[in-house]
Amino acid sequence: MLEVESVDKVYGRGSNAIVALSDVSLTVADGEFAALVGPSGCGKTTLLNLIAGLDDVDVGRILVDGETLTPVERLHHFGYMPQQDMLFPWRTVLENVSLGLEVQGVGRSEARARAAEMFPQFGLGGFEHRRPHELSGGMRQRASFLRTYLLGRPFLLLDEPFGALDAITRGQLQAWLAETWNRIGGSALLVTHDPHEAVALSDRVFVMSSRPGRITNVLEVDLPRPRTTHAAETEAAHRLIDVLRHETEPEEALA
Amino acid sequence: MNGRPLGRELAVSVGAPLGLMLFVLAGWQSYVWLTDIRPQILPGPIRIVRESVESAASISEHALVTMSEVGAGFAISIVCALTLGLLLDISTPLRRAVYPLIVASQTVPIPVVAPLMIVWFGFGVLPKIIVIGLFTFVPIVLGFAAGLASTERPTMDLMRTFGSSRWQMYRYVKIPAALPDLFTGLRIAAIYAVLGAIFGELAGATDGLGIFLEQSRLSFRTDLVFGAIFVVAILSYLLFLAVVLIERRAIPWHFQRRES
Repeated sequence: MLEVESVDKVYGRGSNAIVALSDVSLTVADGEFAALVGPSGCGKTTLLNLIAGLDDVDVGRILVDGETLTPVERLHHFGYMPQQDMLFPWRTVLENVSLGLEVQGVGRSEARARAAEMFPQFGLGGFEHRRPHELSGGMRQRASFLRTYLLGRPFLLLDEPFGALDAITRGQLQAWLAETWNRIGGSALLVTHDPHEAVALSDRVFVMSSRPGRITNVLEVDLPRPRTTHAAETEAAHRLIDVLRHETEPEEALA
Repeated sequence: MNGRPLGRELAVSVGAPLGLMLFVLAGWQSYVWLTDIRPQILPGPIRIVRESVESAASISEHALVTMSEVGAGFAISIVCALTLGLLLDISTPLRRAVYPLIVASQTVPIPVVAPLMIVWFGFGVLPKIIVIGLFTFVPIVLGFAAGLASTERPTMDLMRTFGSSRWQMYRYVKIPAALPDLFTGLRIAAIYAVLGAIFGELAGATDGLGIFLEQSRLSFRTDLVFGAIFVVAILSYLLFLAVVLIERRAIPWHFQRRES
């Protein structure tokens, strides 16, 4: 279980100080898929980076299973998928996907064997020895997800993983992730500015407002699991999406 | 790939500069014939080639000396530049202290400083190596340092979430990412390397193309001066070409990505 407890984060000092997060608390239970929705610049990526251990909180605590973890401990506890695919052009797709394992000290050939095994399931079969630029945006994102997944971390942090894609590809990947999640399970926190994406994928949605970033609402997404590709097309889902739109859009208009 | 056959592409990329050169040489030769100018002032290309071929044994002997200086100087310069480039990226205080000095050092008039090298280090090969280093070191350091700095924060963050150590960050990301910029620096350095050896020799030496140039000039053999200049140009270009070929082999991904 992940608990974020009254976290503050301030950047800069004196009159230039920007309060990125103010008294942010949230809890994600084991096996839960949570989403963090808010307008751009509201601090949701900041919060995700804090949880990931890339930065430390100014005030408050971040607990895993009841224990406060240091940033370094968090770096080793969470899997992190960035918005950009960050596949390196000097490595083949297979070499990219197995990089996380290699960094963790798994031997090169074993890391590649373990990665290659998962390629068909992730819709990447046959592309092992291609270069990233030869793949479509959607495939690159799936490869990036596989790279994170292979680390075997119990909790995944997804930072707008489909934010850089066109609308059609984004919809396809959301459906793909919902379906994949039915199979692989685990806990996750997804950052997104897309209410539809949040509802389609998650069990619970935290709504954030900006300046200072704080949690303003928590919505339970009471849609059946396993999720189908059309989970977000039901009336119940649409009501939730409307609520989320209403809560996030005025901020967006200001930004 | 743009679908053009390789042969035609090669013909264009080699043929165009060659054609332009032949045109200029033809004009030059015509001028010499028409004005009947004295060869000590301006020899024609035909005479330059004829006399240079006659002195080919001597020229190639000197060229061999120069090229061995270039080989040693360029290699040492690369090793030093890679080391300093890496240190500059690792240590921020060092970068702040050294970087402006490296840039400022480019304004030092090397031909003027070269004779000092002879005073300090004698007539051996060392001062030539140092002068070659002065010409080539800076572009390599700047290229490599810029390349290492090109890896952005989010990329390093991702590596950190893998549990990457600092050394792994360099091995898996920063160094490979720096190679295109490094090769840009190496190509510029290659162009100047032979020139560096010539200046080193002019400051004080017994052999080498610089000495051949100087002796030819002092004995009014302008044709051989031009001949030696052509040899220097060709050697510089070959060194440049060697770097380009190594680059093509070392970072094929860089060119694939650009073509797609």
